Amino acid sequence: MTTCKRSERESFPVRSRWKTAFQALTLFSFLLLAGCWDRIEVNDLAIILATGIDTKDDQVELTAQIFIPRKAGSGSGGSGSSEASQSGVTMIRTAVGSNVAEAMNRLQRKVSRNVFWGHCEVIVISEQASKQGLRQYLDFFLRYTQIREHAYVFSTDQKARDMLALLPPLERSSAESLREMSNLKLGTRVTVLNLAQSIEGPSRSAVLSRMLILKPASGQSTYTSDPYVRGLSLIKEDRYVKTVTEPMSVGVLMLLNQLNYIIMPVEIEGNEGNVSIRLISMKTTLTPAISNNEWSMKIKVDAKGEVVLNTTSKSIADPQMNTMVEQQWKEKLTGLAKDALMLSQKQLKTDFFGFSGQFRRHYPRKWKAQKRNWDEIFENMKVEVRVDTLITSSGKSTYPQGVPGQGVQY
Amino acid sequence: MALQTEKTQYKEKLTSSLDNNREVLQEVFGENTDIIFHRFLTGNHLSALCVYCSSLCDTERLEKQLLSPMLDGSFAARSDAGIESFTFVPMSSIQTVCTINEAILAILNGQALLLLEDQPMGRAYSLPKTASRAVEEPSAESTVRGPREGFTENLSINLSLLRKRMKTPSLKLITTTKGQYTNTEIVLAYVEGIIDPALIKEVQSRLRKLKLEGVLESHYIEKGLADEQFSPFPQMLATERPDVVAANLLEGRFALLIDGTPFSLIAPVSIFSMLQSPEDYYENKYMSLSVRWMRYFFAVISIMLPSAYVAITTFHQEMIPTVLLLSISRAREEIPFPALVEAMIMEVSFEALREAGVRLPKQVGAAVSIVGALIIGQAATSAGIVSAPMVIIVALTGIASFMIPRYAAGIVTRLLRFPIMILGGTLGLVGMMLGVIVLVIHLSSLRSFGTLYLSPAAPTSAKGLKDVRWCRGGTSE
Amino acid sequence: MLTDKGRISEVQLAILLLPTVLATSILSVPSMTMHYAGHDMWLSPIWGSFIGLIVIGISLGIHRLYPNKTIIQSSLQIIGWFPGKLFGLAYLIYLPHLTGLIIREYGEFIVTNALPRTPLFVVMGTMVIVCTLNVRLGIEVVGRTSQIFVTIITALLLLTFLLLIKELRPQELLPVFEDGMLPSMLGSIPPAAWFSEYIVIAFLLPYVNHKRQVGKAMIGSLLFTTMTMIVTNLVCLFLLGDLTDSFTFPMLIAARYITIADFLQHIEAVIVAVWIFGIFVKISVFLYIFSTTTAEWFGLNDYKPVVAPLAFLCLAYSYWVVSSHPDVAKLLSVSGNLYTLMLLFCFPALLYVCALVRKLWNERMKGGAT
Repeated sequence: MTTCKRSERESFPVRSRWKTAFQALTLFSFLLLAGCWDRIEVNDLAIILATGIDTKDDQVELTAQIFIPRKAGSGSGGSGSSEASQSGVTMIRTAVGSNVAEAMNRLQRKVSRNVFWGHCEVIVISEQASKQGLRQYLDFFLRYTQIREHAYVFSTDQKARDMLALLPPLERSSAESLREMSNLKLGTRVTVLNLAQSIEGPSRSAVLSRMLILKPASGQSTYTSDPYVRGLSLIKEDRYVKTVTEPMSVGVLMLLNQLNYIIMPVEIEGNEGNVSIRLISMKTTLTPAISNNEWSMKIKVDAKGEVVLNTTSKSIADPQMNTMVEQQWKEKLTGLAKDALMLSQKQLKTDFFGFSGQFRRHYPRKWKAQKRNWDEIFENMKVEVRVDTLITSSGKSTYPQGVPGQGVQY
Repeated sequence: MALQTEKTQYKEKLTSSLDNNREVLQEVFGENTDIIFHRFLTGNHLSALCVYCSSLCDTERLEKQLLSPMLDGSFAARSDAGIESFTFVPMSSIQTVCTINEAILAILNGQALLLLEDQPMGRAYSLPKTASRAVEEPSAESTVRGPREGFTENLSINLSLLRKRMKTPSLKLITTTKGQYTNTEIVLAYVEGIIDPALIKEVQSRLRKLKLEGVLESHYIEKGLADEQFSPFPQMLATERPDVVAANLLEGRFALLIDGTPFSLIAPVSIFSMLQSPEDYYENKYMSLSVRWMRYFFAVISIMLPSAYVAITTFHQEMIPTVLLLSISRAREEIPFPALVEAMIMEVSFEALREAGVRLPKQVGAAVSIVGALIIGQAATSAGIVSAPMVIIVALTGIASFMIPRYAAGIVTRLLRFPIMILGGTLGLVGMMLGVIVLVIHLSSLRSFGTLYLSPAAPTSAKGLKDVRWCRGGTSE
Repeated sequence: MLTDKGRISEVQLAILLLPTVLATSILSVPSMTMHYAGHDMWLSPIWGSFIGLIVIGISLGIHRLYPNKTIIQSSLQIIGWFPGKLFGLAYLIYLPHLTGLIIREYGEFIVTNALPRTPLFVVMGTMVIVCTLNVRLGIEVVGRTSQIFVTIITALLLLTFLLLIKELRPQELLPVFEDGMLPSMLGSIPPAAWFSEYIVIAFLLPYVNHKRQVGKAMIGSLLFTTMTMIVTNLVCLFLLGDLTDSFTFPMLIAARYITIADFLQHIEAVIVAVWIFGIFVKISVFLYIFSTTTAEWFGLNDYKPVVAPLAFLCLAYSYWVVSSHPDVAKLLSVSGNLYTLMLLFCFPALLYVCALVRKLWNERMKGGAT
């Protein structure tokens, strides 16, 4: 309709700028129109939730737990949702190769979509595989771009493949059960990065949670089950050496400062029954000392607990009883710690608890000089364990409950 | 008030011959039926001619206030003939007209022109027919708290609304006329003493240079005065609220009020004025602070969200929380389109829906929105054409773009969404960042009447930023 | 006679320098310093910053003696026309090298970490186009865009650090001076190479409008960069411990490690964004300097026409400089650092010495005459 006219003097720079913008735009669009090289639709992804590593005659057997999007979507269809959840939302694919990278390459050939490791938050390594050394796996996990450094690592004495094949009734996938368990801190909570740090660090060892497969309830299919935590797998250098179960694992966790959720029965001398204490918090500190060329370590454990069960006849409210319980608990914890130390120092001769790191931090020069003799020093090191216990609460009740006729007594 | 026209051909003065004047005017207006040439003899026997435009003049008032006193006997009793005698006409708005050009303009402005025999000048009496809408609440910028008056299409009403708010002689209103054919009055308003005099000089010179055939809406002027012709960003703020104009005048800006449109223009502006609502200054400080920050946030959302969704779901799936990725992958499983195409379909149909809703009569508009919501929201997802997360994203961007208080700025965000979406769909987040960089480059080179568009963020001014982050009271300083 | 009419404030210059120095250093410096300095790598930036201080001193000094002239222009007056032109030529040859290397570094980073299948050319080409647009609009726009991006970068980095707090283990700081001071000094070479990039102020000082405050602003900028480097190094050390130098980009690993409430995870895109915004400013600054230097050297009135061809030249250089990613790392770590220090530190220092000698000589002559 009406147009805006501008004088010649003004219109020139405008036009040239417009031209530049147009040229830039054309160039840009050439670059862009050439293609979307990295575009992968979510529909074309095989999202891996967990990875399992087994060995099969000297070869690596890699198992991937893959999410099946279609089955999970039954909710919107509105039919047969219960059946769909029975048949599971994950599947597994396994490939064998001479090393982990090759196995991974072969795995892709068995999956029709782009294998995507970016969401693999759980890595299960069978003890069989870790016996042959974790090095190649660690290098791969920390080098391959997609894999998360924050993925949790578990150990199992069964086949990792079977663990991933599970279809837990509660969680969406066994990967999720494993991750949630790790977050609950039932065992050690070790990420790929932590594992690499502790193996490559001065202590050259690591401790992993050991998972087992729960027997399915009768009538359920073999796969409808959950993994569960049972004990710890100890790694020396980069190889699996030993499994410890309760009570030894409690001591190990305690010295690792990773003991969190536990209820311990404590016997009280001269009393029938026992008192069970739930751990509220525990803090373990290591203090190294070198005097007269004698290396020693002080371990101080602060434990706070709450009484959850009292089957003795005495009241926890009684200060004498309280001290006694604390004393007994202390002895129990000290015993556990000593056992764990024994295992570490004498039996396996491995520094699981990071003593060496402490010495390195506090005595860098001496550590440097004696680095080569560390194994010897460690084996003969004097370790002093001091446990402080405190019962902070006796629960809802004061006097023992359920004692027949107790109410009449007073 | 000095009137000017674009045309310069009627420069000659009115002559003292009444017939001559009449002939010239009749030649100019030709066969126009609404221009009335009324010849009569006044009470003191002077030959007179009254020319007026019957469609613009209030003929009843003309008869009563102008013609009848002139023909009246009392007027006749006056012996002093000549132009001075017209001062006895009981009217206040009288203008002396000396040239043909002025005469034409006066007539076209709705004034009644009175010419006398032997007088080389005429008088123009303002007798406007008030065919204008009453002062109503501004529909495009409503507030909960604050004045409810909005500008109308009538310039004099608008000026009165502004004057009413600023009772000071420092408020200057300077009128010019633009448009070769429309001869639209434009009033430049500013407060002397607050505004930078150089700015006023700049505006006046730009206005002088501006050649337009017609001015039907404020954007005709805005387009002509803008620093950067090809920027999608509005370089002047269009508002229909007199209180916004007043507040901005007090902050050292100028305003252009244009006859025939309720929208007046304010400049210089920055990008932050586009994201401010007048209510920010009328409400509790903390309330408006949080609302303002929310607005900034949603302005970013409305530009970036669809592209971020496309980029992340097709390039950087590891960034999505696992559980969310699983549900997205479930929702997308049956979708035949790539995410970029899906987003384009949805965004375009959303824009279509919005446009349809705006243009249609109110009664039909509701039906459109129902159909649209059903089609886009429900049917499309259950038919597996678009995924539910995409619907949420599009809805959220839609809401976000409506949160921007200035309509013109909202359009920009909707426009910019598409190129950034394409960038995000081809190069992922890297592409998006490049888009953002280009946007920032453009914004930092943009000026509105010499003021940087990004000020006070860059170049940084602590005092200015305070108003961006907090809300400095518009009139308290 | 300057080739750009725009002027920036001293604060803008200071802000402009932050990403110029930090953009590439945030990602690769922690690993490089760790390589030499071990646990004491967080100290290295402090030693390195002395180079920055000296370089700032040199630039300000030359500018004080020859006000409103870039280093290229003043070199003609200090050491004569022919040597001066040679001096300028050295930079004409060096600057595309450096700019090309930065572009290549950006390309390699994006290709390995974000877009593995996208051709390098597209990644680098798009960035170069964007930078060209920026530079063509003049120093004012470069200054303003850098202000915006520095704000974003700072916010994003702070966010990353805050989210990581949970995972940090400050005990990794110990032992300090495991092998004495020397390693941390050695480790300061890579940061020093970055700090020597402060020499760009010698090219940009004429464009600053409040010259009095420049010194203060520069020191502030230097403090900020040093602090950022220290904090970055500390965060990497506290999170990755001894493994820091086993990763190419430790800060990226750090960002990937963030997991907050199972929702905020894998936010390495934040670091990628920091990198892109930062490198954009950095490339723009060097491209700007390259363009103005070229224009000055050839005696042009306006630098704008040469921007696009030079940008393309830099893009071509980015292919010629190195052939693969390990090469980039190699060049950056040993020879590259010395090369950079040579041109960004030694040459200007020599020039300053010449300028001082000349000034003394002139004064002596004057004194002799009277």
